[in-house]
Amino acid sequence: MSVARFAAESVESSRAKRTPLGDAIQQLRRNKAAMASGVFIVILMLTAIFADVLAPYDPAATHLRDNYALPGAEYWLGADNLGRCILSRVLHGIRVSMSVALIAATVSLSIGLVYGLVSGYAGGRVDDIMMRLVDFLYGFPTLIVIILFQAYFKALGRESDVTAFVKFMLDIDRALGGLLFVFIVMGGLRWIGMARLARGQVLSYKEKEFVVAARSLGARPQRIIFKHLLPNILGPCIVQETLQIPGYILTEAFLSFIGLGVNPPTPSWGMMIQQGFQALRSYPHVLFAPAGALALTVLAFNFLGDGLRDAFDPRMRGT
Amino acid sequence: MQSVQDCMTAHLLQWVICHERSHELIEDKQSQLLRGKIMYRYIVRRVLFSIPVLLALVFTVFVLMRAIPGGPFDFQGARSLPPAVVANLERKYHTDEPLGKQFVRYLAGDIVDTGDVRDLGKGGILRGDLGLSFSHQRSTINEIVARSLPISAQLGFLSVSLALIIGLSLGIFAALRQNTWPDYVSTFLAVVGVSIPSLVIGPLLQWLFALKLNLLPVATWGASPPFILGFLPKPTKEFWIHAILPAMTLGMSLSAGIARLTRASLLQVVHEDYIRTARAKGLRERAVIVRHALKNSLIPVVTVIGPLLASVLMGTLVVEQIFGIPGMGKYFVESIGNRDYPLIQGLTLIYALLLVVMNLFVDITYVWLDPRIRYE
Repeated sequence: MSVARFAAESVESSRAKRTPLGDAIQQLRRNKAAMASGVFIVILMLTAIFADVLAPYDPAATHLRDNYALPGAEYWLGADNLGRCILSRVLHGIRVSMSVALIAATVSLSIGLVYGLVSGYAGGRVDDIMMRLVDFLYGFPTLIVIILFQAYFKALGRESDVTAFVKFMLDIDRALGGLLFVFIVMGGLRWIGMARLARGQVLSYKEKEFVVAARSLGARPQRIIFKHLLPNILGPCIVQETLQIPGYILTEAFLSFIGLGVNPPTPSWGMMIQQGFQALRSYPHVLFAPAGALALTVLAFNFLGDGLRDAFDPRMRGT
Repeated sequence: MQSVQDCMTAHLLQWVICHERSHELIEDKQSQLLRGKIMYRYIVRRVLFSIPVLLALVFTVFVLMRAIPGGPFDFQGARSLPPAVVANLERKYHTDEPLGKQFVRYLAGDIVDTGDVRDLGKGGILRGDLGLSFSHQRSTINEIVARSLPISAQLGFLSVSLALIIGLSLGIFAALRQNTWPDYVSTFLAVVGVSIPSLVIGPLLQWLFALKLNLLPVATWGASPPFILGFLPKPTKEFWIHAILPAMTLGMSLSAGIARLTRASLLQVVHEDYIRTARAKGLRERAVIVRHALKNSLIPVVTVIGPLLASVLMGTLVVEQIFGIPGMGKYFVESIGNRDYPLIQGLTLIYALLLVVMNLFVDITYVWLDPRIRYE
């Protein structure tokens, strides 16, 4: 008797405690790889913030007598072709990769979310036209277009005769080490998938009771979109965006690798890999540190993204 | 560089959406004939729709390239050309004309209006002529594409084959040993494999196999034109030893993605009732897996081959840079450095065309494949 009541109570209490969010968090906690990756990413972010303090040298300072110095007591990871400390450059390179990851992701998430919400909620002709535009952009080879836009902005940066607005933008770009246009181009071209996902989600929620109830109570579209729909679709969209972050990091690295990313001497892992690549025959140590950092960071974001997806979207588990 | 895996996830989602829709359609009509008709109309609509996409891309690239400050012929310092030479060059490439006229010429070629329909001029991309390159004096852009596209295609094809072989076997291996340590190891390896970018693995492979162990050539490609039938390399030793490292670089992340997908979908299938039936009939385990389970579990894998090809297309761009392979990607990046507008435009158009064809192929596969199978 008492055992039965105890069982009933415990079922009751555990039922009361369980929420979708709680479940998801619990599921995420159990995923050791995802948790470790999360911790690693937090450490990366902290390192990026305190890179000035942590780095033993100024990442741009050249010591020409020490060029290609091997790893040792003076330079822990060695020095590159201009005698710059590789450890300091790798640490500062986190800033580039992380800011690209965060800003490009935020830009593409916001554009994609708003676009998808409006398109899905409006429906009908508006939806048709907006989705047609998405299909349209989907046919573009994104990496090629990103390269072309970067080539354009790089050439613009070399020009002296420009309008005040362009000059203002170029100044910001210079202050950011050549990253502004990378943010703009990547965020501005990579929202297509997000818009599709957001629209699909809206379509599945739009006719649900709580939305119909809100509408029949006279809520305005903005309120329904931002108060009722947005919170519901945010989860899957953020998960999807996390899965795209490695893509942003790699695109930036590749752009810097072919000389269309950051401006020297801003340390970007892609550019450092390119330098190591050139000295591969004699001084392979120049390559190892940035290559390892890039691979580890991407790995961490992939594990975290997978874990988040498994936790928040059980239907996609394991794919 | 969208990673393969995002690409797959996105396409799977799209597959779910598109599939559910096609499923309803087909169930409503219940007719194979109608299905064929819908299919046919769908393909026609998609092909028609891709025309404005390509035109818009051509236009965007055209405007963007001309908006770049500085002309293609202003070289710095000692290499600078006398004004008369520049004027002549500009006349030759028609860069002295107004933009509108240049664009029409680019599309439709030199229009000679003699009143005869057969004499409407020559050249222009609408006639399949990509024009002349600024920096490659000895060959037209069509010739450049004809010799670089097969090389990119060979690289892409080898990588996809390698990825399928490794990915499928690793995926099946892991699924058949679910929740044992070989499974955990290969699943972990798959995530690692997906994550290691070609930018990292390429130079590392070069360092290890070419420079340290001296087993394989560091870079370049082992086949050159003329190709058999215009695109097949002569299968010499030279070709194979040069192809190993680049194909591995590109194929590795793909194979990891395929392995994960194969494992997941095979696991879903082996718990179905009909597999239990097959076992109950007393079939050998091998027959159960190969003939019954594998066949159905491969459907999601087949659907990602299309997006895979698209990501390989962009992947060749990266790998060609690393290994100095004279494919389209190498010419593309080079042409940007040289401000070779016609070559940039031409190669962008070819890339876009390939992408359009691949996307079409993907979408047709989605609609074509068994509509009863849904992704849940």
